[in-house]
Amino acid sequence: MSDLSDDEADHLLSRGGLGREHKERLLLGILASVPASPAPPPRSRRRWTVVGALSLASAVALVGLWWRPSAQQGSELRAKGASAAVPFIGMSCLGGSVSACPRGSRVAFWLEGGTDQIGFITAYADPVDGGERVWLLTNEPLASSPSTAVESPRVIPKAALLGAAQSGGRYVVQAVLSRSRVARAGLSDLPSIQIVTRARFELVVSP
Amino acid sequence: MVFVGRPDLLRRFRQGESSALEAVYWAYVDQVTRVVQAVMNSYAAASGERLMLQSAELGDLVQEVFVRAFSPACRSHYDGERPYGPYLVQIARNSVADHWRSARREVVLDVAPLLEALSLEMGSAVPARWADQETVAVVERYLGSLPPDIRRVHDALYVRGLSQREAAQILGMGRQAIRGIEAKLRAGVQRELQRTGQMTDEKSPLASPSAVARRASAGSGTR
Repeated sequence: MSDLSDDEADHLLSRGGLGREHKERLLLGILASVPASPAPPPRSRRRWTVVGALSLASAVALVGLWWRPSAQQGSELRAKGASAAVPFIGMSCLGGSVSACPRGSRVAFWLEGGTDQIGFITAYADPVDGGERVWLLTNEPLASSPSTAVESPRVIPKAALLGAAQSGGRYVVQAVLSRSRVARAGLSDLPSIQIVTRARFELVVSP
Repeated sequence: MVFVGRPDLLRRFRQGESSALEAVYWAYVDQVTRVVQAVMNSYAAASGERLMLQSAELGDLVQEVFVRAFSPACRSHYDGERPYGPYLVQIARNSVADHWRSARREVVLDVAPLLEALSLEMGSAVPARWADQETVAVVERYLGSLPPDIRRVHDALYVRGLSQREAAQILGMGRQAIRGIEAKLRAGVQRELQRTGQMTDEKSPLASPSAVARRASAGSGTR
């Protein structure tokens, strides 16, 4: 018998609605995905504005979104800076952290640096202890921006849901940013010309 | 109605200022949630399917609606003259249709008249089908048994959707006390579900077979 998560309990207590903390986390993801205004305030000030408006739980999620977990430092290819031509792929667990990501959470990906406006993210997770591969995203397009300026970081609008039936434990996540849509089966044999960048992460799914 | 008499908010919203987006989000998030749930139920009913949305999936859909609504294109398309609610409803309908299509690869067309009739204003009148009958009965019985002081906190947090801080201010209580009652409410509803046999592995109130099957067919983060 599994316990209800806080979100699920709140869902019932609000008679089918969403709990406040859940709504705050959604807002965080929404704001992160919206391109900046033509004359945005300095990024640091905007971040602190958001942090100030949200609960501690959301603030933790925010830190998770912008902080590069140590596992990500092992990305095989990454940009040297935010303005580099080759973007750096980041990954965050919106319901916890990459080292303890509870079932029911969403795993989000984001790009830092790079100038490509067109590209597709495909990501999958392989259990370290063996088991079936879990596809997190398949050919998820980058958010289009009407302006020529490319914001950084750029959050991929769609996040992968870790279902309630997801097995707990350690996973190795591979994320690939490709120039065109790719077939899952052919991902490992993808010509390098088609790959913008790729990254490898560790993710621990907790009960 | 959020923009009525607030031209500055409309201007900042169009510019994509975070504070303006937040204001619009909090003004409509509950209504959008109800509309998303109603549209999903409509599709499910038209397909002869029993569907109970999990909070995570419901949240994903609500987020998708606002991500679309807050995109530069949608912000610039909104003329500021008409009510913003119906504009959001249209985006919600399109988002749910896309979601349903990706999961089912088809959209049932004969629900269109019903969806046309949906509006944010009638969102609260949409029949509440958020769990199976037994679960609803257990939750309602539990909420009905709450003592008055706890019920006031429940009303503030879960009916009016206030934050802990706002609830503490309005009820004249400490935030720590509100947090403690919130934890008791969560534990209490779980205890009642377990006591009445609504929370076994075979019968989870939030993981009905159809929902599990639907999630599996969607293939997002599932095997």
